[in-house]
Amino acid sequence: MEAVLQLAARRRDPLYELGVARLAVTPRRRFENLLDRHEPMLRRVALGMLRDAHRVDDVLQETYLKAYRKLPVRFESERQEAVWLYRILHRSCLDELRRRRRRPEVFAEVEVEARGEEPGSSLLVAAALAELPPESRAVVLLVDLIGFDYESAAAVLGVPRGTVASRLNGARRRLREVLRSE
Amino acid sequence: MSDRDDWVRERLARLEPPPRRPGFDEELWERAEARERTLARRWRLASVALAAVAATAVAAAAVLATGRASGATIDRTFACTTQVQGGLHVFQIEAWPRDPQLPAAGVQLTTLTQMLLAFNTFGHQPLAVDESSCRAVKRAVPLSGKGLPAASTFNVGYVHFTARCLLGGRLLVRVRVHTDGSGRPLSALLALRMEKRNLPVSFIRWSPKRVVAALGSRCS
Repeated sequence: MEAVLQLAARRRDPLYELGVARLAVTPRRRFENLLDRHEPMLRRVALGMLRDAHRVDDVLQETYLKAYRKLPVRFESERQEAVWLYRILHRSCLDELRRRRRRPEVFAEVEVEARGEEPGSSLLVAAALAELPPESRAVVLLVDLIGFDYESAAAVLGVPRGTVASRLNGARRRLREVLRSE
Repeated sequence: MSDRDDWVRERLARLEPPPRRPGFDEELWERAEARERTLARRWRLASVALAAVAATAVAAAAVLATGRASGATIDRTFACTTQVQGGLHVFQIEAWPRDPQLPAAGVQLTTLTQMLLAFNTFGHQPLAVDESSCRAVKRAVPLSGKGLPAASTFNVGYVHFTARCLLGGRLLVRVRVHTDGSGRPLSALLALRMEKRNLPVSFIRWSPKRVVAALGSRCS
């Protein structure tokens, strides 16, 4: 197939266009394109949720596998696409946090790593986020890091808009207290 | 997008995304392929079980009777309603030849959560059709791959042939199944077209030894 396409490309054959067009719409291509656009922010959110950089790759793999399997044929809008993807990430992070609760010793090791960091460093911000309950952590990351509006954040978390607003207030207040005391 | 708190946002922006570990991509796609293979196997086993159950539960599926003595040929055309996702009608074709790990070879057409039509070599029924989605029609549908790109061939032991297709409306399916004396499918031809414009979507030539599938641009 590759050879045929190369030959067709040299001849400016319509077959080349057809081949390229068909390759471009494979689910894997679409999914890779989706990840290209979202992955850096997904990594940040996963780090903020989990605090542990070593577990981010594992959680993202789970997220991607679920997302790839359920990849819709198309999205109505960019917002719908982002909400769908972050909802899967959010659930994967909660699963990981539940697993971690059963293995508290792993979390203790990471806490030690955060000491002695520069004020405001990535690790300290992650440590400050860890002071919040997971639901509040998710809200503040979705709204203040990614820039979701309340409706989108509510759609990701599956809670009413008012719940997002109240959790966000509490989360911001607590985050200020923790970061200013560092 | 204007609900941010600038002070908090500025702090959160310091979160540095941890880099991907080496081999992340390779691991991801290996796991994705392994998971798809497992799901395909489970799905096919489930369809075989469903077909076996359908033999006794005739109310849900129309089981088309055949002459049992010396084999028979069923040739029927159906118009099937498929489920809609993202504004498009979606259905899936799966066809598999004999596989040492499976009790049967067969073909099935499914929409998102429903089976439309299936047959396999496990039971003694040539064809099961979901009457809630498909109804028999009298439409001329040629049993050929004319108008479709070149077909691909899948021989015995091929694990997973599946295609997902998107249409603007209902699906027209003509199926011709040859059976042995006990009603077990020996070979089959399936021609799939769009009902409205009568354009070819796919053509499948199936036997337990080989599946030959031609897919149009609406399938991937």
